[in-house]
Amino acid sequence: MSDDKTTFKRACDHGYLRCETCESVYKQDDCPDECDFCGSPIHQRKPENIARAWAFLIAAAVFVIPANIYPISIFEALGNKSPGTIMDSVIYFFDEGMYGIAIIIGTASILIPIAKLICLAYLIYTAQFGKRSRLRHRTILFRGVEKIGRWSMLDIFVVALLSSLVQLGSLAIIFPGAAATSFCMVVILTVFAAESFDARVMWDQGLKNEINGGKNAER
Amino acid sequence: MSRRIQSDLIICRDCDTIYEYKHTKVRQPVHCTVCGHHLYEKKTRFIHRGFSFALTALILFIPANLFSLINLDKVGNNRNAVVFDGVIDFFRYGKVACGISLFLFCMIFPLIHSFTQAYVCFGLLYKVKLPGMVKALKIHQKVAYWTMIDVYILAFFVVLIKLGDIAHVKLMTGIFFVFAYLIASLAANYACDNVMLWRRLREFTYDE
Ligand SMILES: [Zn+2]
Ligand SMILES: [Zn+2]
Repeated sequence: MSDDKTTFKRACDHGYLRCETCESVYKQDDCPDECDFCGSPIHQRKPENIARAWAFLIAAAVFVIPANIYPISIFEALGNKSPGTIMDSVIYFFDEGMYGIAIIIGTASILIPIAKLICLAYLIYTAQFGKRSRLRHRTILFRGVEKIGRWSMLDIFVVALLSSLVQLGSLAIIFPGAAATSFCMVVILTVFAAESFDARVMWDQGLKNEINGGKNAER
Repeated sequence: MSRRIQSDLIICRDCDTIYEYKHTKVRQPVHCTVCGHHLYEKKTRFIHRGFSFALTALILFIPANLFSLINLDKVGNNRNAVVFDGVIDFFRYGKVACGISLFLFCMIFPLIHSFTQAYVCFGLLYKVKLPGMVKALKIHQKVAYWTMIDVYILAFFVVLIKLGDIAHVKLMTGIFFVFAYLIASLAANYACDNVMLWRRLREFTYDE
């Protein structure tokens, strides 16, 4: 296994650079600072990727707490306010017997954000310390985390629709609660964290360790 | 003319492996053998299709945002909803971040996304050198992740079912346009492979 992994030509070892926007490839000794074609800056790796990813991730993790404690929407009927957190709405759908929606909301607004935070923390940690196991799986995990992130906005849109629809004068209204902003921040910050992370870094570290590890084993 | 660009090479985004760019047949996706990343895929008449679907989406975008999606009537009170109502409500209750997100993700970005694609594909299709095509494609690519009409539609169904037992919900014309818009924009996304689009644009810019 380790044999065929090391025979692949990697751009960083062979002196090639790639524009991250338009996929133009340059030779390292002949490489402009900005892409000739699209003008984006060209880096070997995304600048400060590990530090930035940690920063966004920690910021997102901080917002998770208010997002789940405070009510995301408040239902007011005849002067009585009944605030509901995200968990409340999941429980509401379960009690009503609408398991499908309960699962969709629960997955999109509780499971995905938290799973995303844990997965990203794992990915950044393993890349930072050059773990070499399961590189391919980790890359697939990273792509999954990237793809799924936007679906977490679901709950924000539900609240937007509800509050614009249910406006029955003084009878009953629904309006967004304190958690809405925090929740929005969680989603956006985790996307930024995923965006600033560079998957190539874990291959750099991983493959380097793999070659060294192999040599050591031979000796 | 840039001679510095090695147009016969392509590098995997995730694992940095170099590949030689090969002219493949249509519908033959090329994947990275190391990490499995989708490198590129030539699709049938992709510029033609990309342009048609993006233009369709662009046209459908207008009615999708003008007509109300659903009508909720209960005790004589009617209330219609368009995407923009949600934005206004967020602002009214002081949730500025949410209001801006909704406005950007469900109105502005989808509009920019379809427009830039139609613009670039139009130029490539009719061999017209439009100003700022490179910039347009750059914006198209940046904005793609943040267009969330599909998420909005899912939210819409959740709300529909949630309100279904409280009030009488009537589907309005707007929802059909939103659906048509969603299908057109998904088709536009599917029609074009970004790597191929960049490649074609580069050839078009340098070779003629
Ligand atoms: Zn470029
Ligand atoms: Zn790869």
